[in-house]
Amino acid sequence: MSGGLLDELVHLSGLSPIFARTVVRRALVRAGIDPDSVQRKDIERLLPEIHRALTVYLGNRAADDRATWIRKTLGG
Amino acid sequence: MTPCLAHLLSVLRTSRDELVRRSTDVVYLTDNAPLPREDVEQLMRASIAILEEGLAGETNEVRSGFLEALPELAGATTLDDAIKGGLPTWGVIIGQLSVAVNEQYRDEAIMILSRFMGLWWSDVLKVMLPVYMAKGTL
Repeated sequence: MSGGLLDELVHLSGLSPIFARTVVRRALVRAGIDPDSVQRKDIERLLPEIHRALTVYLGNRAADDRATWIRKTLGG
Repeated sequence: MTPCLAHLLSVLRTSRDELVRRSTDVVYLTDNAPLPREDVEQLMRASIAILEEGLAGETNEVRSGFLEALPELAGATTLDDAIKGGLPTWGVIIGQLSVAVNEQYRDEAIMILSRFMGLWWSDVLKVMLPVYMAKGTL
């Protein structure tokens, strides 16, 4: 199930498949979350690191939109 | 920090979005662009972030994060494709930045950027070559 949530995060990130999984996994680790056991209750905790990672690849505005979308889709 | 380096960073920081857009446009001037436009834009933005981080000399977080993703990329591509797709990205960015800097700094900026690209690709190959060797595709 948690692998499914990681897959969803990768998909929702909007990042190129070339590096999406690695970038999302790295952001989760930075947030202190094991990527292989991430759960919905972790969403609020992981969002700042995901946002920071997305900004590098998408720019500020698109990263804001993506983070909002992830919160709306996966957050409680 | 030298005046040229400071100027280069200033240009990069104040014209980042324009640099990404123009560099991506250049890639699509030819009909052999290898990736979807969104992917190329993201690669451009990441490359510029690596450049900014490296020139500022403050962290190597973006650089190390990108390098970490490369073995996976190497597993899914050939070395030929990785180089043909990746090197021009840097060539385009360096070209665009060189045009954007003040003329008094241009030659020095070209040297700084070219040297940076060389060091970056040296690191890239160190990460990717072992994967190609293990796959037996070199």
